[in-house]
Amino acid sequence: MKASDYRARVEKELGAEAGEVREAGRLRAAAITGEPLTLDQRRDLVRDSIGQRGDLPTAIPALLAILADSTQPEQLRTAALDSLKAAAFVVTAFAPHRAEFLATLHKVLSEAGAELRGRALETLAIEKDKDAQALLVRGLQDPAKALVPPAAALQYLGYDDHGGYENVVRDVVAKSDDDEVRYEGLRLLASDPKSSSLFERLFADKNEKSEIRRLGAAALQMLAPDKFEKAARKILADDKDYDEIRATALGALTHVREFARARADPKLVAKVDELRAKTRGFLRDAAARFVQRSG
Amino acid sequence: MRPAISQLLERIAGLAGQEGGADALAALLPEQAAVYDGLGSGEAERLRAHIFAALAAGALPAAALPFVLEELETGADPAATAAAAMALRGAPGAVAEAEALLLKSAARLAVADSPFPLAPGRTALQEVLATLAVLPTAGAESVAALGAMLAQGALSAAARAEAERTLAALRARRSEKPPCCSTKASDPGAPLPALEIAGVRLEDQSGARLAFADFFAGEPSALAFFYTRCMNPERCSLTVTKLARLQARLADRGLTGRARVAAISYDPDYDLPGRLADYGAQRGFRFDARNRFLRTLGPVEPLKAHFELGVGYGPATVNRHRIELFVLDGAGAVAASFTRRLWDEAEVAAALASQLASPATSS
Repeated sequence: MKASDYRARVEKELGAEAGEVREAGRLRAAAITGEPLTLDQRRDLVRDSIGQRGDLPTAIPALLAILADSTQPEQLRTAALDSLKAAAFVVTAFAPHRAEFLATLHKVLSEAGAELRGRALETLAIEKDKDAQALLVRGLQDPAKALVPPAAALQYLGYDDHGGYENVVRDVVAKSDDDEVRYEGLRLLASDPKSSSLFERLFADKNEKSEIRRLGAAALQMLAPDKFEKAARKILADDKDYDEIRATALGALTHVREFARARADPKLVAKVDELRAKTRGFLRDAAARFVQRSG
Repeated sequence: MRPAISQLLERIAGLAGQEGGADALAALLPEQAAVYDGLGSGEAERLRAHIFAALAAGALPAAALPFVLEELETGADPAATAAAAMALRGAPGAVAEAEALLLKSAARLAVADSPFPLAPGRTALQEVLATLAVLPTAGAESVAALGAMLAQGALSAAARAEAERTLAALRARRSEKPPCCSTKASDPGAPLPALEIAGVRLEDQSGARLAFADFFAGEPSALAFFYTRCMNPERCSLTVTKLARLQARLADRGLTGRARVAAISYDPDYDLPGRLADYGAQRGFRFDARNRFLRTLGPVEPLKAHFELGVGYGPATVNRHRIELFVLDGAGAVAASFTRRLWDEAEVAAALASQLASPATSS
């Protein structure tokens, strides 16, 4: 059966009458899950169910029923979750179902498989759900209890920059040798003034990975512009440092709020002229942009 | 070592309905209370929700009422709002503003309803509506608002049923409604001496550095507290927008150039000058020598102690704060306070005008 045929049939059966939304949703969910369709067909129906705004009053209850039903295939439930997240953008249509949606996500956390559980956890974390955040922290502190990998947990905690997990995250970053975990942790700390010394150290450390150093530069510039400027000048003056990092430093110096101060510094200007004349690629381009802005 | 959150919640639950428990619970509500130290904002909100819910077990002490009304007016956490609504049911006597504030919170929750973890199976909006149903002062305004809410068809089945029950209760009561009385819930603003903070070092949005007394002495000022990372649009963002409106009010009264308008950040390590300038400009605030945003160059503690600021801190930033604006006299001492509840620009402008008219300032 084609999705369009199915849609026509359900619409005919339901008559799209107002006031019987929940019953309509139940029927639609039953049709999606009970018909002798293949999993792919059923998943297509789920994905297609919110295509039209007018479908939402019946589609949302149907999707919630599928998401809540632990006997349904995980892929179908995951597709239902994706469709519900899309439906949530239509605030007025979704509002009557929001509380049930959140309650269903909590239920999913306790019984679903890893993929769906992780998706539910992320969705709740986006909502700044305190219980979801507690589960993420628990997983970071005790990997045996983790519902998602540590990099994902850090990313999800980062949805709430008032969560107050900086101490936990700093600890994870210090102990981990996984670059992805460190990167996600550092991203979360990038708005934490107490981490400015950490970013200053990372930015200056030639043994660090370049993406970590660049993240350190961006965070330091945001948290402590004066410290950043000092560190950037030092890196720029060091011909043994990597061109990519020196270009990052120079690019940022070109766009500081106090550019007049940078432009008036003869040592810095002389160094930039030298880099423009003697280097190639992005470092020379960065030097050219500095000179261009200097007028 | 601070107690675990679970221990705090146990302690709060243990106070519910106990003799002296309500006063002990009310004492935990100020943002600067030690129970909130080091908590993230989510945990701080959770704690407050439990405190309000525990207060609902008995009569609401007068000291807790401003916190309940504040939560209903500008709270962003559905559970804390719902628990505040529950606590309001125990208010002794009628609270005139309660109806409008419950309706405001119901309107917020109508598009952001959540399960209410303290009453399994119910939602935050249901609790707010249930309070409205028993509120002695609720009447025609609620009937109209709930009617409109139901007509929009944007409520869940459970919330719809609750709204219908509330509407029926209100209609049944309309003919026997008692005359409305007024309870003004605002913190008293005790004048404080300015001298102890005269030397506190500040930096403004342009990077200029000065002492507290350099700016706040000589002319009366309106001083608000805020921080740019505030997540509640009804608090800091609105405060700064209202400061811009206050500037316009002062201009209308011909007071530009005679009074100052300033805001100081709760979060000085993060709110660097450029950030202060952008935040104000984006909300229409016009900066000049008399109109500045400031941050302390050292800790914010001296100002926190002096103004008894309602602010608590987590590991990285503010975890909770109230709305606070002070009108300072020409010596920098507090002449009037507008705290916890949304303030009115006209009232603040009038308070500044009154300072300018007083002999001490005009001489």
